[in-house]
Amino acid sequence: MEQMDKFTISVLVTKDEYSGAHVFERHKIRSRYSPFLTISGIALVVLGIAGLFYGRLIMLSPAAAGCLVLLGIFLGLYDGVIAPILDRGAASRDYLAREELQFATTYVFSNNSVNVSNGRVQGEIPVSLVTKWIETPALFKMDVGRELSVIIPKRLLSEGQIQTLRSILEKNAPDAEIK
Amino acid sequence: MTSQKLSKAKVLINPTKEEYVKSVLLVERQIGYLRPLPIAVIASAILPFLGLSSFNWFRVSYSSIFLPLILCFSCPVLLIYFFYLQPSLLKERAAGYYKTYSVIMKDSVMEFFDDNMVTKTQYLTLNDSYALMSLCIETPELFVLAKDSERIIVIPKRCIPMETREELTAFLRQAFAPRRKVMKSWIF
Repeated sequence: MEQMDKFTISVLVTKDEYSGAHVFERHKIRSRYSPFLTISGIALVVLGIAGLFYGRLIMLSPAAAGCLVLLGIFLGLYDGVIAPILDRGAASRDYLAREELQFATTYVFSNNSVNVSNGRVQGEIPVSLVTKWIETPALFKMDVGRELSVIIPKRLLSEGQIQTLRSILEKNAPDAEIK
Repeated sequence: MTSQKLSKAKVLINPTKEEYVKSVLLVERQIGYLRPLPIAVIASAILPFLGLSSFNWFRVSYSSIFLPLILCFSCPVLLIYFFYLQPSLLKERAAGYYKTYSVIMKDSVMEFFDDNMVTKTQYLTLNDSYALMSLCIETPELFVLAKDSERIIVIPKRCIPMETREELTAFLRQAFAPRRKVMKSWIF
């Protein structure tokens, strides 16, 4: 019978999984201020269009009004269109640059610690040291400062293991979750 | 018969918060957010020139000064951003990361071999190959080895024992010869 409070898993993350998780994480972090960006963008577009038609009345030259429209379009589309493309590109470059992501890594999760073993890192870290974690539709991603990043795709986990991992993280690092 | 080569040096590493934050700024200046700093300085010199030359000195109206004003205003904004705001943000973030770093890497012992170095800490054993390090920055006080702007290894020179300091310094300079940068501060 599978022991639910301790499980071993061998992981090799794909570039698509890594990029998708990065885009998801960045979108969550941006969600605190992205409505402000979008609203500012809409306001600038409205102001710029008003400047193009009634520039003399509101003291805007056509060139300045055009700049405002362009800036407004940029800000309005930033969160939904531009940032995801930039984030995906950055994540792809990051994936290629981080050689440990291309090693298979073995993780052993227990109640309050995770044992890591790959070509570069070996050791056991208390889950309470996790500084940032996020659950995306495809994976769990945990960061221990800048020193260690643990990525567990859900495709490798059973439903019970997903529940166990979620509860381990919620119990040991409740403040580190990116909501 | 197999034999394990002896390490060149064994160093107990314990960087302070100031050293860690300084290292982060040095790396950001070389391969991170502060890399465009020289371009920002050049741009901040060109922008007021463009602003003043596009200003119509003989037909002043509110609409004609809008663009020149933006161009002139961009100059101090760029300088403040790259010399104060961004470094402050990076310092604050680095200070936050130092809390975890100081726990995980507390009293870490670094062993230097011909091709790699092994760092042993209370929790982890890290094996880093020199060939996979993209950058080595040397300042009068530190060696900072970086894989990218996120993952750095800080070696304060004060931690290297006097008897091996000269030899290890020469070895690191040689091992990272094509990727070594000598800096005095995070700006220069």
